[in-house]
Amino acid sequence: MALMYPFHVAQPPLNWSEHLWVSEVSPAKESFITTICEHRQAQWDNQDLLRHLQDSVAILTREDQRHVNAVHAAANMPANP
Amino acid sequence: MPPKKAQTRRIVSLDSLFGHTLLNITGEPVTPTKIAIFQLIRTLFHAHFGVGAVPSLKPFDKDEKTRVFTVLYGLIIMKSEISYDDFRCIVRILNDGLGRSIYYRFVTSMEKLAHGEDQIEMLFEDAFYTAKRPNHEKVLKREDSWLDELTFMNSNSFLYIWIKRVMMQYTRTSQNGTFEIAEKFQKWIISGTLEIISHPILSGINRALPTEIDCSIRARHWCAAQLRLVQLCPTKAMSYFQILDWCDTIHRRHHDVVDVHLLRAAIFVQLKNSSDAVKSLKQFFDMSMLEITENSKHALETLKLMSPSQVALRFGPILQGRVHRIFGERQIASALFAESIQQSQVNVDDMCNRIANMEVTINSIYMSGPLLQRLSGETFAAGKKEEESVENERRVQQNSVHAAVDLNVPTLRSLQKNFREDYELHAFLVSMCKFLLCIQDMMDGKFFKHNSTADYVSVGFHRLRLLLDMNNKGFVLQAFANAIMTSGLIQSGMYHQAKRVAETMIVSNCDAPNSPILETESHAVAGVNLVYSLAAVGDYEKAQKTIDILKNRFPENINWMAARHVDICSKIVNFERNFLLNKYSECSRHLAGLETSAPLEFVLRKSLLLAATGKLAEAVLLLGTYECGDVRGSMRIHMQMATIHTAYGQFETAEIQIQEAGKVAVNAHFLDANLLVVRRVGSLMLGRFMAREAYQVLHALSAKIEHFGSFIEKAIYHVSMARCLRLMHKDPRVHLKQCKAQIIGNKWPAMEKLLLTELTILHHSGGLYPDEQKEMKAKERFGKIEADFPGPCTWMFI
Repeated sequence: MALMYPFHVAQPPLNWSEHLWVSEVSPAKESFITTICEHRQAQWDNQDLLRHLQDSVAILTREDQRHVNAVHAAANMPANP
Repeated sequence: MPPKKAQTRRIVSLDSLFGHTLLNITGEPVTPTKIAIFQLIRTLFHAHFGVGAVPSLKPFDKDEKTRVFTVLYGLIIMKSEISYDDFRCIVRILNDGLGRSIYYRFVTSMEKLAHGEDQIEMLFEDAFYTAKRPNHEKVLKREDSWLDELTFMNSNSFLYIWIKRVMMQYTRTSQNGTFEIAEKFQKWIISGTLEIISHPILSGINRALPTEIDCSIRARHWCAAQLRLVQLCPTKAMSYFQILDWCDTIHRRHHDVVDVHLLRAAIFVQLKNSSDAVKSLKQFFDMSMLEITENSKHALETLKLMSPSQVALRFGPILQGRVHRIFGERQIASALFAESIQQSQVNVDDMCNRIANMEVTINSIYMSGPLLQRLSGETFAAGKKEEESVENERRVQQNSVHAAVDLNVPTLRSLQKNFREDYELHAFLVSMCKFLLCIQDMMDGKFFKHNSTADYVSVGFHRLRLLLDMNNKGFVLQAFANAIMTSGLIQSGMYHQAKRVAETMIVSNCDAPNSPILETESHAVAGVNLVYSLAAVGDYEKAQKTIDILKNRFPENINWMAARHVDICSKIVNFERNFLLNKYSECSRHLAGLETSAPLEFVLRKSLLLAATGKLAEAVLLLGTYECGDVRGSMRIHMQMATIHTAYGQFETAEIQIQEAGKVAVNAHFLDANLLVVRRVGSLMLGRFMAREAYQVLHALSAKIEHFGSFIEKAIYHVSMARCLRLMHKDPRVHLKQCKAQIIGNKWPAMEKLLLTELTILHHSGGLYPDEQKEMKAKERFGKIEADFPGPCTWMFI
């Protein structure tokens, strides 16, 4: 009874990359990813613009300061009799 | 009491999960030629629109624009680098056709960059994107109306996409990378030749990727293709270490390609590295934890571009449990599959529930690797009963949920997103479950029981016809079923039928344009069963050739799960061949590696070898201490002990063992079980010199022996019948002739010597047919065989 043959059995052919857990990236999703990248790029650019605007608003030169004082002084003159 | 501090909410850091999403996303390395092309495009743009608030006096017309873009496309498509002198020649050619001081402005801007007066800026003005001239300009100049439609750049053109890629690549380069690029660019301009950058850029951030994986889409396609090849035909895939290198490259350069970790896990399974496979699976499910919101309306309402997905909770335990099951860690796998069943029931995922339950079934059937065998400690453990009852309760919950639903038909809830793929997967799972139940019946010896297994097989094969089979799902499962069929036929002694099925599998496994020759484990099993069917009829030369072919097709370092089948088969067939030639040292050598891979086969053959060399006590002890849980294994052990005791003349003990084997054979449904037991009963009676009773028992097997016996069984049967007839003083020559026909070709020299002994006794002067010449010929032939193959015939042990 030793000279008989065993029962060979193969592993079930299960797929490692089933569609349930491997999400398919369609061209629409790919363009969506690219849109996200471009959006972040635009935010990066706008930061520079905002920084520039804040600098121009915050720092006033001497001539601009004098102009503001003149306008303020003109507003405080007494009225005509 | 101080006031309670408000807990800050932890936000998921996307940068820590994916790295920076813009980093290396384009795979377009920044080279001096590309920067020069960019500067040329800016120069041409200024020539068409003007600089700043000053409009251009001569915008391009259609012919000029066509000429410009032809040159630009040619520059972009070309992969190689150009020297600065050659690039200036191209710009000069453009200037000759267009005018507008293009060459002067280009060279001026390049020289400023070379000498550090300007910095590299990969940006355009906003007018580049609006691509239209102001209205007041058209009113003042009174231009023609057809110029309104002529835009400088279309957002759908390849040139625009190329510009976007180069801009993103340069913008997201680090400080050190920017410095290196600027330095290379300056050297390129000043030298005018390609001497400095003649070597390809193979490292760092600007490494040029291979063509197959130089962008995310190609990397995904490459991962899918290699993953399919690794599973179906591993020799056609790239080498495993090259795949791992490319996986590392994709992981560093394309963070959004998460399939690369799944491919890495499959490679580590092939390399027998279970810990790294589990790590890669964890990384895959971590990376795919967040999914992009595809519905733009939902994204705008919730302000979420990404949201967590439940895939990792449900399918993560299945894949990890599968890795543990393949490497023999069945308890851990069982716990993981139970976790997955719970998650699928909580989230009402029918497909995940079905897959997890099928994995539980596989885990309970496959106990000892490549061979179908029930281990001894599994069926009688007390804890196992509780665990099985828990599993049964869990399955009962599943059945109660779908009480009114036919389990063979998918519900609409399980076919959620991808209808066609879900339907194919469901049909695949139903067929797989039927075949697994068929395997379980084979293990319990109920394969040919009426109306149980045949229904499973027919339903399973019927489901396969519903598949479109775009991913070789049906063909692979059909190969699996046919391989199980060949194993079942070998078990039942139907060697010719097994040979035909195996040959059909080999012939139908042909090359096709979409799929190469499959090299799955099922095809290894079919090849191995072909070898067994050849060995069963005594064709050892052809069997050895087939073994060599199988070893070439399934190498150990590429396909180890298939190679272990070939290894076991080679050892078993070589043991059998050498045992019949009485070469016991060779038999011991072939048994060396069989103890771990096939313990039952090792115990049976080791005990046979010990008994044949005179060590009866060791053989009986070895057989007695081995506990076997499946039906055929225990029957074989009882019959082996019976024959060993018969050979040593201990007939009472042999009779007890043969009765135990008979009890098992009555309940089992193996077609050759009755034949094997009764044949050994005849040998037992013959050993006791009960010739008449032995003849009556053996004569009833004359029809079955031709259908279900191997050549060894047939030879032993006929020599037993011949001895019975001789002891009853009748003519035994018909059976001697048939026994001789079985062992033609020097398959069993010891049996041939036994035949010659019978002939000598028959033709002796006091025998049944006295003939001195035939007696002399038999003695001479015996002497020749004895010189080549010494030792007695061990037919009573078999």
